[in-house]
Amino acid sequence: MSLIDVQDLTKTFKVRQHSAGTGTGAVLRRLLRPGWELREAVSHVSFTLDEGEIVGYLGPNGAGKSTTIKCLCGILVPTSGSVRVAGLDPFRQRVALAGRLGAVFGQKTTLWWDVPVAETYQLLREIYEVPQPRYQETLALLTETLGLGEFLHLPVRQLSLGQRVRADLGAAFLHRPRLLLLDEPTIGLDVAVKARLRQFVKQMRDLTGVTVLLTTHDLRDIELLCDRLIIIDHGRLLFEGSIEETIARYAPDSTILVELAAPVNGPLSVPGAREVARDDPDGLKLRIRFRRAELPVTEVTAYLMRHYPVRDFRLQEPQVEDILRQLYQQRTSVP
Amino acid sequence: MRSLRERISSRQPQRQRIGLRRALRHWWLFVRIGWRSRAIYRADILLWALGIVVINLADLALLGVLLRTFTSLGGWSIWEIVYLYCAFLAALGLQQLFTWRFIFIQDYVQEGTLDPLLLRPSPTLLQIAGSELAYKDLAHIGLGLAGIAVAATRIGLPWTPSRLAWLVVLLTSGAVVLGGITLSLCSLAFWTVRSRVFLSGTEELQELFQHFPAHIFGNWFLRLTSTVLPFAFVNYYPTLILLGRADQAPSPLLAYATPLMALVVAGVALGIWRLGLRRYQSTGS
Amino acid sequence: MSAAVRPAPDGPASAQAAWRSALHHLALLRAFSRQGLQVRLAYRSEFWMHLLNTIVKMAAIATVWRVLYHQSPGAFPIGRRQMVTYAILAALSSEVLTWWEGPHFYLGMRIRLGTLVGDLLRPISLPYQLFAIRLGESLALLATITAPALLIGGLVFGLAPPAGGYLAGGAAFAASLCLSFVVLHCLNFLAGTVVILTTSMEGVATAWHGVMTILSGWLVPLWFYPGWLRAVADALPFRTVFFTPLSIYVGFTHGSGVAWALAEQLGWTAVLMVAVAGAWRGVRRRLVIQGG
Repeated sequence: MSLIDVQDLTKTFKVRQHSAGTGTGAVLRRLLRPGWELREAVSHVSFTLDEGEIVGYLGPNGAGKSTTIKCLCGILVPTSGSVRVAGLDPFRQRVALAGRLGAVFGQKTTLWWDVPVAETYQLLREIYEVPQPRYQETLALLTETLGLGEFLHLPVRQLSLGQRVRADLGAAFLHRPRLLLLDEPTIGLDVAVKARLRQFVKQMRDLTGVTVLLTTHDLRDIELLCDRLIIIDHGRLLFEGSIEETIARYAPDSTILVELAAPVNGPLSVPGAREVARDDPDGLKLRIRFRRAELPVTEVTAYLMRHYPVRDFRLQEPQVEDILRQLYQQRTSVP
Repeated sequence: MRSLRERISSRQPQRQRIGLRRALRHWWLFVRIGWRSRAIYRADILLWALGIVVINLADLALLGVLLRTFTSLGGWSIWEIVYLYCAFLAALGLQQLFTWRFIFIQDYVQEGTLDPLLLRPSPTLLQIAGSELAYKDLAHIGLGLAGIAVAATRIGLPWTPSRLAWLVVLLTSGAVVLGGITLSLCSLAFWTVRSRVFLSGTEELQELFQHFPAHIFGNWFLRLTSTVLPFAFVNYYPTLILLGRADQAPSPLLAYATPLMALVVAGVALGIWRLGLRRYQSTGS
Repeated sequence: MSAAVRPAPDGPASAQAAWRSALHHLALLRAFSRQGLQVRLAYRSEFWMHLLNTIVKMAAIATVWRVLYHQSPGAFPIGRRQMVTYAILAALSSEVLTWWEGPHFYLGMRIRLGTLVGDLLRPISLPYQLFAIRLGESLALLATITAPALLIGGLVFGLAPPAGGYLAGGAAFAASLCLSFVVLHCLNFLAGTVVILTTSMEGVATAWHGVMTILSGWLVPLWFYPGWLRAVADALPFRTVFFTPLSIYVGFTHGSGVAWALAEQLGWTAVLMVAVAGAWRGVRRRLVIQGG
């Protein structure tokens, strides 16, 4: 059975119409006839997550990601459709689900500000009713993988952002949840901390079989962590599939930017490349686009080095935005 | 097409069976960790408490000056008025001590900080109330009880066990009524965003009940404040009972119904809170 | 009182400079008044609650005094209508002549944030600036809260006309109120300097409330006070904020007494303005040495 089963989820909000204008006429109109309009934040979305999967939930800001996540947590009730998490209805069985769910919401910490992290952990242990031996075990594991030892005794107030996110992650995992929801956890963090977080998530999944749903804008998060991607925009499901499928289908090309030591006259060509172009009028900069599936990078660079006076080159990989843009364009082009 | 019954049942979250003992234990844990958080702000608490004493002593002094000339107000002697005043103080202190955080419901809703609370297997309202106790209100309680004791002696009221029991029951009821009104008004944040302002709209009304016996303002006033805005049950009716003036109430039954009224007000307040929370979960913020 | 105007050698140049400075100050007054009005009207629900609270306060105090008058009319030196009017005017004026808002809270906040230094750089002295702001807020309060509440109070309870007639009595009352406003502002400012010295906002605010409540005579007219307390109150400026104008209105202070009362107010105004100037100079010196 899937851990998460979302069927035809729809969430509609009633939003007050904001008419423009600050003149007296506009203000009066607003007072007398407050208009309401319906906004579909999530529209007929269906997906499933199996146990032990790490799934990336992507989409531009305002796409409906937070709304979906809140429905999964039981914070919001769906307008229609069904949501089942660990076999429970999140809204109607919120308390039962709470013990099996752990969440980290990007910038917002749920830890107490002025007390040592260890104290908050103790409090959470009691609230989630984790038996002492199990708690010690988990704490040891967390301390090792997240490096909590350096700040467990410090109040959250004194932690850096990276430390705080690590502490939040630890707090979310204390009760060994079956589902971990991570909402933009790596925002604002330096590369070292990001790597540590990714390692932690992977390790926990391998060790405990926890399922992870991760929303992020970071391409490396996706590449290194996610088994599968779900992409949503304007409340609708755009795409679902593995990383390889996604990248292969929507951003199959890579680009190499070449800097030549001397200009080359005449036609340029690289066998198998999709496009070879000059990037500047002097002919010193080249741009070569090729399909990754068809042509290994090393072949391209080897060819370039053999046939052209290459001084330097740089590989450009596709970004998440490129993929999303592609998908969006593809979607709007469909009648 | 879902049946009406299905649609109704889909709107009700299943009764959150947390259990009273577990809920109270959670509340105690929150209070304890909240106390540790405030460690560095202890000096503030003492200052606030001192300020409370100063303000109330000034008010009482003024009442004293007034009642030297007039010896009674609305048929009540000066010490009976002091009793009334201090009964309010004690009830207020008791209520504020445990439920001071309610005025921040509006902020929890606006800033989205309600969500993490919903994620925990603990009653949301207990989490809010337990996040910080208003220790400075121990000054209100202390001053109130001291004043009651002094006034009772001056009036010549006997302190029998039944009186003491009544005092405890009525003080608690008064605090519950005040807390219920506060919760009801603050829960309006789920509908109107800025709810704290409704509570502040009752400030002068509270001052009124604190300083003067309500019957001098007329029957219509007593009727209003025994029903819609039941402030009369905070200190007026309790004092009527404890001063042996219960027959002066519009109906003595009304005065003795104070504990019952407390339960009713609490029930209504919790109902409004639950309704608001459900609304929050269906419409977002 | 303004730091911008310094004693200068006589001559047409200095007179012109003084005139220009005066105009500048008046322009500032207008600007701050407008700002004060905007602030008041910006929060709609707060406004309605404030109005409601004011009406409740006024009705409560007026009723209490009416009941007390009915109980023992002989205890009063004035008539029933006058006493009820005293109560109504006291309640309403305590909203504008308030000691829970004003320069002392401004200074307290600035000290807490450590941003008082910024005020040293302005070309207009801070006491005057705060006065202008407070004036603006007060005019807004008068227009939006006091006026409707007064109307309701008059309709429900009935207001007695000022003793000595609308023209003379009214003028004396109005003049007295204006002086009260300045006196209170100065007193609040001085309280604010105490905040700076003690860095305890709560302590000063509550002590201040105690002092104003007991010694100003707004809730209980001073003629009810026992002899020793009355003597203390008479020696201090606090009673000139409320008791002086109110007793002029109801005729407790009458005849030549009015002129004396106004002169006393004027005297206190002068003394306090000098005190404020001195205190501000002291604060500035301290800030410059110790930092904000």
